[in-house]
Amino acid sequence: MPGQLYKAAALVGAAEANEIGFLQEPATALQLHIEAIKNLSDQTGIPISKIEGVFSTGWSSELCEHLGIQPKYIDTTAVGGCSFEMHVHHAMAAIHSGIIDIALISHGENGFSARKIGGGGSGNYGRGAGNASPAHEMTVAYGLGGASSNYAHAMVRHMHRYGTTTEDFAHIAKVSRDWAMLNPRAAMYSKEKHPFGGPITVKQVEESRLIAWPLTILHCCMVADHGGAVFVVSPKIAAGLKTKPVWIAGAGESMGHANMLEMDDFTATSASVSAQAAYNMAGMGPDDMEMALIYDSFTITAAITAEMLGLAPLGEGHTLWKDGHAAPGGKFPINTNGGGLSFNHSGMYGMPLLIEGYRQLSGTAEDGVNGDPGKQTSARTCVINGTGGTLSTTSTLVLMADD
Amino acid sequence: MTLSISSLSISILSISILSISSRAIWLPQSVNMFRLRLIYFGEELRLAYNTPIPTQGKHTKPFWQGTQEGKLMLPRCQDCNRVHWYPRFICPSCHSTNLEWIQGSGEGTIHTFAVQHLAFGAWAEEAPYVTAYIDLKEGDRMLTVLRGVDPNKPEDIKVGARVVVEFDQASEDMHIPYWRVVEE
Repeated sequence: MPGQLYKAAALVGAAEANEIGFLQEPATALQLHIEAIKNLSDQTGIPISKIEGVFSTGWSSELCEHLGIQPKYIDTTAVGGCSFEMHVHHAMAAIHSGIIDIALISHGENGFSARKIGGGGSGNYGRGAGNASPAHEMTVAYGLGGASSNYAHAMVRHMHRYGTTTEDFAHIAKVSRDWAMLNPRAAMYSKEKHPFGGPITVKQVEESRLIAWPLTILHCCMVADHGGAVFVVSPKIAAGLKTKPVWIAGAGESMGHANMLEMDDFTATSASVSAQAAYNMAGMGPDDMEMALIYDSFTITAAITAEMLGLAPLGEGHTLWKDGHAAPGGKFPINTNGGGLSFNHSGMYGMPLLIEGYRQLSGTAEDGVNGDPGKQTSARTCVINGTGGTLSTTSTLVLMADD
Repeated sequence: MTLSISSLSISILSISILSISSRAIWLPQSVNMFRLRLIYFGEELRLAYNTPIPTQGKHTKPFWQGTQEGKLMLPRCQDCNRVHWYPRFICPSCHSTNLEWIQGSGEGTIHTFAVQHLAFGAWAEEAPYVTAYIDLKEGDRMLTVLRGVDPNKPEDIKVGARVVVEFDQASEDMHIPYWRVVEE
């Protein structure tokens, strides 16, 4: 009997870069990608702008950025030579589930040219690949370093456009700390746990050390250690387990850019698109959400994302925190673990979002191991949004408690 | 350009003259704006650069050749006429590969900015400095370290302020564009 994906999708074209082999004139991996994609588009008559899913090893978002497209399914599975067959499998699943109709699977690797010009011999064409990335070439001279050096530009633009102030955003850091002080697992739980832990005031946030004006250090997440894992299983398996299920009602993903240089609107992210997809799948909207978990790499990230998720009007994301709604005891709890600002952030904060979402909606936020009273909320629905890169890529989930 | 050599750097210069090595000796004295340092190559004093210098890409040569001549060359699509930045293998707007290089006006405005207090590598000693995204007159956007502004007075820096491009020699064959706020 055929499996569920039987004839779920078909290959409809195949093309290569203009020149392949041992190239006289060296090519970058990115160039090989682009030539093949252009030729595939010409061959099939499918415009590049109609591509809905992009599957490639390495830094797929930079490939999309170079093409000027924002697909709604992005896969960078990179596990060696068989990755592309896996991409086909993943694309079939995405197509079968109705998320996309047109998937691009792309390869570019300058194994020979890399000996002359470097960069991308492994099939990557992204950051750190030297001249393989023109975006890198045109930005490397200008003294941007960590994420903070980039994100500060978004905060300035938000302040310019909406008249917001650094004090407005400081409330987000203060509230994150209020939550962390209810969570003994939070790095900033107390002064005993960390010298900079325990209570903070808005004034302290404002007056802490400057990192990249207008960001002071308390506007920035920490960089700590974290490990986490979750299971996603079928309803059948879920029914036989001793743990409570939390249902994934909606999911969506999108991207705006890979490099901040290409960020069209510095006060908006693709979370508006990924959230809409997730809400649509769930048959719910922002008004149906009872709490939110938002990637707060910086206070500005949280504020903008709240706006993109439809939780607050444009330019007013910070009011959720400033007016106390997001705080412990408030009507719309946000980042109940303490967030990347005060709980933990190891570099990629997506996993802690999932863990806290599960704990809150399964009623195990105070699990009796370390729990203090006050952290468990009564929320039955939760919107989660992760942000990657420099406000570049986003993914949104809508979670629902059981029954 | 103001050029002042302190007694300290003169003493280091003297040491470098005595040195057998013809390799560059860095002097601690800033000349002009950022990153420019007096260095001593053999018997020749030169201005040199200690922050990262881009590696020229294979399809961006016209841009770097332009900077040598004080021109801001920009990629434009011959099919949709849009200018894009950074330089592509394909037009990000209409996906044509009929691209050409045009000479830009070298004028723009500040889209947004930040003041870098925490910096790394050779930039660390330049902090604080102002980074900015510049809206080009021809369209699209460029990153720069902004000149003609006081990093200690960010409230005086205005989004939308007019800027013009200028070029610094970074090495034998590389000039790097920077943008400077126009005094209104």
